[in-house]
Amino acid sequence: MASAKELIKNKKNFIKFSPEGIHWGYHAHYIEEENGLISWYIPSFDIYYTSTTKEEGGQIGYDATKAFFEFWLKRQSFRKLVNKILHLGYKTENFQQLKNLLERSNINANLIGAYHKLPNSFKDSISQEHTGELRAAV
Amino acid sequence: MAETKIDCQLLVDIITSEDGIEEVDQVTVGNNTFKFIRGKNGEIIQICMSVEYVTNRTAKDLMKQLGVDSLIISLFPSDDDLPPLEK
Repeated sequence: MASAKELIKNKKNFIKFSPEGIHWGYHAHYIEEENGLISWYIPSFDIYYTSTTKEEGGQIGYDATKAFFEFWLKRQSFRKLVNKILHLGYKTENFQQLKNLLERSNINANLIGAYHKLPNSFKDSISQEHTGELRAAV
Repeated sequence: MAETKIDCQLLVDIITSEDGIEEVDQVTVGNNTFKFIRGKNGEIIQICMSVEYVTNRTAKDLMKQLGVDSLIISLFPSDDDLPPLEK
């Protein structure tokens, strides 16, 4: 199973589950608007937002992806989280990993994000790589 | 696309007053708060509430996600990338 470092090196969008928590990597796309604001889109989590600076945008993106896991894992349920990320196009390396994940047994799974075609509104955007981590019993 | 600033709270107030739109939860991480909203299509999306303004690009994309495209025509009637209003 590829390590989180290898996945980041290969520029993959990924979610890695382990008994210690969740580690993820994603690309955030941005467009600097004429009025000074910046429009952002994170395709692998389907999240849109606005920032006033690139630094703020990077931080909001990180907090947004962490809030995503907080919401689906802690406010909804583990199964709903898995269902949501499958809907977003993530795939486990094999069916056994998915089975283990759903049964919450031997939780060690890498899910790789699908290739996401950017919406027309972000076709001329610039991409940035980011990673995040949530330490929680999964 | 002509860019304007849209008050974020006002946008959320307009969106959530639509029938079929439901505010599900709110999560704060660091200095940022996100509202989780269920759209007309059943999808739950998140909106960052910690910024004062959003761009019209963000506003339109959020409305598309929530299935309230008709609001886009009402709020952005002069944009070039929208279909003409029916007479």
